[in-house]
Amino acid sequence: MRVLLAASAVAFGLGASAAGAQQVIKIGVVGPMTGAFAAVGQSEITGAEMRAKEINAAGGKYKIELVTEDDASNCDQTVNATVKLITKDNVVAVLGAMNSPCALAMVPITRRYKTPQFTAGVGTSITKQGSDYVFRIAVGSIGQTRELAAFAIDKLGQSKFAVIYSDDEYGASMANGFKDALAARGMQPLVFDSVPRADQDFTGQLTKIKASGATALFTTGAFTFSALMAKQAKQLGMSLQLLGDTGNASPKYIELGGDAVEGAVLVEPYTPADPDPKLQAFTAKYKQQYGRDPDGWVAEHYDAVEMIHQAVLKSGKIDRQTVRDFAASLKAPGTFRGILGDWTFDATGDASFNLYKVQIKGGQKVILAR
Amino acid sequence: MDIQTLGQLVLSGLTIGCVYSLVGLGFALTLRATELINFAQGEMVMLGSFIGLTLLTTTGLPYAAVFVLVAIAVGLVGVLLERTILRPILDRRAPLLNLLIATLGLSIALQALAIIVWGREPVAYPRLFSDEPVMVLGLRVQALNLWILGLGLGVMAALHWFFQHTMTGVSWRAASLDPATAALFGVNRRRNVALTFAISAAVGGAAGVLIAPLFFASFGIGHSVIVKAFAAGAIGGFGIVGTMLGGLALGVIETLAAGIVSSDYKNVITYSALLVILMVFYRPTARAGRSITEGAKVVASDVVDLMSGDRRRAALLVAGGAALWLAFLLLADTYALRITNMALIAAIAVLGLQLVVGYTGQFSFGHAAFYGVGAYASTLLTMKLGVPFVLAVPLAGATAALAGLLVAPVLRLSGHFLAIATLAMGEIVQLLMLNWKWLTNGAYGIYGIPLPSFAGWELESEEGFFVLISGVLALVYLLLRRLTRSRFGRSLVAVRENELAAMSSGIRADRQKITAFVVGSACAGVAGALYAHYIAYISPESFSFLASVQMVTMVVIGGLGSLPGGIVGALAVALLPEMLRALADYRLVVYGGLLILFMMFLPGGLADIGRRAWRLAARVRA
Repeated sequence: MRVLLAASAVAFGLGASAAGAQQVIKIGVVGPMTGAFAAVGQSEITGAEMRAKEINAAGGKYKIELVTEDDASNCDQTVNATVKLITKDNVVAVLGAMNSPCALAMVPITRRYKTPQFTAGVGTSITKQGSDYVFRIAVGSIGQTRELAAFAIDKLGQSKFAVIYSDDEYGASMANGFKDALAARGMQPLVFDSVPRADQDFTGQLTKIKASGATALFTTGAFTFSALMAKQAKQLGMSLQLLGDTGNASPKYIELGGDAVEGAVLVEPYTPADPDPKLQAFTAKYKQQYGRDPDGWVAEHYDAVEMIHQAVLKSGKIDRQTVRDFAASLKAPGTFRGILGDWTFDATGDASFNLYKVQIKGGQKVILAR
Repeated sequence: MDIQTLGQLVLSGLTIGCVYSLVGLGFALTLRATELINFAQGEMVMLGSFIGLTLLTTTGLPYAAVFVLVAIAVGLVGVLLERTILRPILDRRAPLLNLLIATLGLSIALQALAIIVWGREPVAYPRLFSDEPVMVLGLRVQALNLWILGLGLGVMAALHWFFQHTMTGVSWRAASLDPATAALFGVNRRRNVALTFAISAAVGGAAGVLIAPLFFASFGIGHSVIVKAFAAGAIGGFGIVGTMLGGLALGVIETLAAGIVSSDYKNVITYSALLVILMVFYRPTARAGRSITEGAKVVASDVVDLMSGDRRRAALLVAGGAALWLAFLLLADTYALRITNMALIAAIAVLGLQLVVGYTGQFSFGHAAFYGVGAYASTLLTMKLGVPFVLAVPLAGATAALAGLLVAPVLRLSGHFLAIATLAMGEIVQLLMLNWKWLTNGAYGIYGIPLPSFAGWELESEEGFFVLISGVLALVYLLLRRLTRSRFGRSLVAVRENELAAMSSGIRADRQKITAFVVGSACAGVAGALYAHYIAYISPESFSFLASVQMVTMVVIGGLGSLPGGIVGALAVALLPEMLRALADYRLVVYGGLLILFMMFLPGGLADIGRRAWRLAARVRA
């Protein structure tokens, strides 16, 4: 078996060198391809894959090779896959994981092997472990909920909030972030409840919300959960101002929620509603290849691949430390601009960009503010 | 709370309860006809939801017609699965645990296939009925809810009539009560079993069409209801009417709990209620049916023992093992060491489970809970109290043992009831990990767990962990080996084979069972502690029901009642998915398929291969 692998590797190597002087940048992608969060993993892979294909089609000096590993949202598998990608496949950087706890479990590994990790996980503690090698390519839970709460209070005029979150690291991070953001404004949620992840009937929680007199509902967890909440609230005849974080920014949220999510206000890093021609072209191209609108995760991983490509282009070295240093050097706008705008990372490795505040009207997203 | 809100909650509870009842009926029927817990029942729900969706969007037939067609289609799938996979295993009179693992393999493979066919993302059903609610007695009722209630109750009524008033139904009941006598009267057992699988699959598929418009069609839809459906069956004593009522009651109770009490504790309440019901109403009785491990080969005698007899041979074996170990340590790459270390940690826990399931014949579906207790105990001891690693690991084992002792009263139950009770216990422990935020940090988990250190020297390398973990494994193995060969170990096997006979020869069965359970829990605790310090981050998610199921799989694949088998099984089950990584989407299809094939053609587990090879070798030498 090992001989066979070695032989095929040699043959492959010969083929590649015969094709020209193109050098290969290997990037690892780890995320849920199966299991409950497979749909999220789909955004992760397709985003990275789309940029890799573009770079390869352009036929520049470097060729991108993605090595994708499934973790089925199981953190033990995430860690195993990460070790494989780093020590066996010898990737220059790892994208992932999508589930916050699993991204967190990866941090000791990427730190030990000094490999840059780019994750869209939003859990606060991911970048709080003192590792120089972890970069969050999304806006974290604190940043998101602060913007959402402020917008809901100031622009939507809401003051009576209910918060329902799925009982996992993601939901708890977001819900507590939102609660803190309200507390900073001297308010507190009227209902603050968690639901077990596998549950699908929320009549009980909704009844409680009805009794509390809340007028706005922030749900956080998987988008399937938020869509279900919306549908069941509508069935009970409740009309609430729905609020959502980037977890709901997938086009699937609208598709599943139907007219129950009409009027919902979301924050998202990328929106297909932006009329900018460059972004429109990106949306159209993605839609043509994968048959649906791109979401924030797609754009984040698309940009991350290009960021790694740029790091190699600028230094001329395919090297982990170089990629890390390039990402860490993005302190002020203007160095690297992707589909999401100018990229910057703060000292802990958190990216920050402005989020769109969008509202769902007639099944489409309409930008309210950025 | 006003009466109207209460009514609304009850109505909603009845709707979801209807689904629990239908899926639970599938469990109950299979259990009564074949004594099997069919894990693939959830996948019948999934198939139903997708086939229903396809029919609705392509043919435009009315909902009720689709409902009937799906029930028929999924029923046929049930018959097909019974013919091709389950019947051969049943005919061989393999231990029931093997059948259970085969259905687990089926469930994994079907889910993976569904992803390939229908995709990973959930799909919404087209709108079936007007969203405008109908007002009934001042309650807002959706037309869809009425349809679900109507169709669900209709199916239940039809089944009730079938079992009470048709010849086939009556003979089915006769066979389920007393198969031998029924056979004397000419009841065809095989036909009955086929009929059972057809009906179970059909009601499962029907439930799928009912819930998918509410909750979307997705490959994981079955997963979310099976535990509750199982509970519905247990509440109703796995009778037909009982399960129906049990499901409806469960739906109402949990919806009311979420509406009135905090939903944080909703499931704790549900599972605690289940435990209480089991403990109060299911008095232990003399075992009449087949035991879960019956038919498994026993390693009580030294005939098939590798280490006994010839001293030179034993020395050779130990030397060979040591050489292999050293070669692996020196030659394996980091990734191979990493996944092997994870597998060996699992093996430590599995040895403990082997003692409980393989030797004592007690079904445990909650082993991961003790694994988790050990992980949290060691983490908190080292991080909050500064206890050194070398002390924290045995203390974690002791804590898990204590937890085992606390839940030991469930061992009064036997067979499937014990399985369900341990399942509920495992869920409660996991929920406590989530909800005792002051201690466990809740859903966030605990990160930055220190690496093992020995008097200031910190262990970091994969090689170092390999030495540590295999050392602990060897220690646990030798201890258990001694234990299982002692008078105590033989008494465990006696309890497993025939509890009454064992008791009549003076073995205190209850005490032996509890001791085995506590020792098994301690092993899991030690394994959990090593896991925590190895992976450096723990959260309640790592200690779920699925982790417990995986450990049971390891025991069965390795071979019931064989300690070396436990280790080999853990290695095989943990490493297989890693080795199959290259297959991408087909990985889990192949993994599930392999589980099924194993159970069909190697019922004694991997230990059997070893035994056969050894006997062969012994014969050649002689």
